[in-house]
Amino acid sequence: MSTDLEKYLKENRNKLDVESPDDGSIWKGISTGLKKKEGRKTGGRVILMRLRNIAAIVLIPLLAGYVINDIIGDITLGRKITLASIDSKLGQKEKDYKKLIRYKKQEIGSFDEIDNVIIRELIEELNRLDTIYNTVMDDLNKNGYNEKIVNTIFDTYEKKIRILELIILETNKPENNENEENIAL
Amino acid sequence: MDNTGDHTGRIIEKCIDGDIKAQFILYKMYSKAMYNIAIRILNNKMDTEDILQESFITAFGRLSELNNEKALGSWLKRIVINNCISHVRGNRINFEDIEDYKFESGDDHFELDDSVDPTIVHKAIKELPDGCRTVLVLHALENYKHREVAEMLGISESTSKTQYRRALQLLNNKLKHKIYVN
Repeated sequence: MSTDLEKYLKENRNKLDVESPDDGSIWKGISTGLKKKEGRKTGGRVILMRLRNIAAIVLIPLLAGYVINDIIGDITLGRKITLASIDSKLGQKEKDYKKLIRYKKQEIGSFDEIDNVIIRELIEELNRLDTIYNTVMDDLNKNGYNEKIVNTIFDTYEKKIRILELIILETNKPENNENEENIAL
Repeated sequence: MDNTGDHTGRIIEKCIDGDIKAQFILYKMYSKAMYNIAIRILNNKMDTEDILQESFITAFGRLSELNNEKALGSWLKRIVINNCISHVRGNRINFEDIEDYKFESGDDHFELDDSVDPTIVHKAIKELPDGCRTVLVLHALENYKHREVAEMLGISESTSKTQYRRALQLLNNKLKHKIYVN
């Protein structure tokens, strides 16, 4: 009994699709649903673009200020003791670090839009490193040469380079697309 | 040379870009098949139309996730069936206990050959009780194993098998009656 029926169902599976949907009505619902979905996406995009513009207005002067401060910082602070005045090799090493940092900053400066939360945090981290650097340099000027201080200065330079590289990476990252809801299939 | 794949691929790309004409073409390519799958499970025109709308909206939104355009039909079918099952489970369909159901022997065997009108069979399937109809559709027509059917419907594998046997017997009786009457 069942064998014949099962065989029939298997062999005639495609012929069993006998009903025709009301395409007009169903499609109307689909297109309305798609428009609503698109509207939500567009609305999201508009908000995202506005946020991006606001972020750009805030971040560009912030970064520019950071670069200017870093260039003129040592001059305005009038520090007498520098690493170069302690040892020419240390001076050369510091010069190389500073040069590399300057290049990295120029690379970042060439981008038009810097509007990313992660970059903002990285810039804050750079500012914290600057504070450490200034404190250590003040110590050096007050107390004279100390190996620990010198190591901290170079450590600060290395960290700054790594953070600048992260900023470059983050700036070059393609934009993420909006995430769709995840439906398990 | 078969260009069907390329053609479908182009339609899919356009659909992903939000081209409404391409989306309608894709809908038309599969609407009848998907509608018939859904109505056999749900046995309700309005619910079927709702599920079809929901499924195509979901599919268009997730089309970029489809890795193989040749799998479009089965991918779409899976979305439709998943939505139907969610609906069925939401309605708490009772898979009545038929452990003690006495299945009839094969004495009332009748010939069911290819000359039988598929419309009669389709109609008879829709007349089956909800629970066993869903199992029959999933196992016999959509090729899901009993283990998979059980998982999808939240029932045991043995319940799926029993419901299936019952569905076959009921369908057999209905068809016998319909064919002899006709």
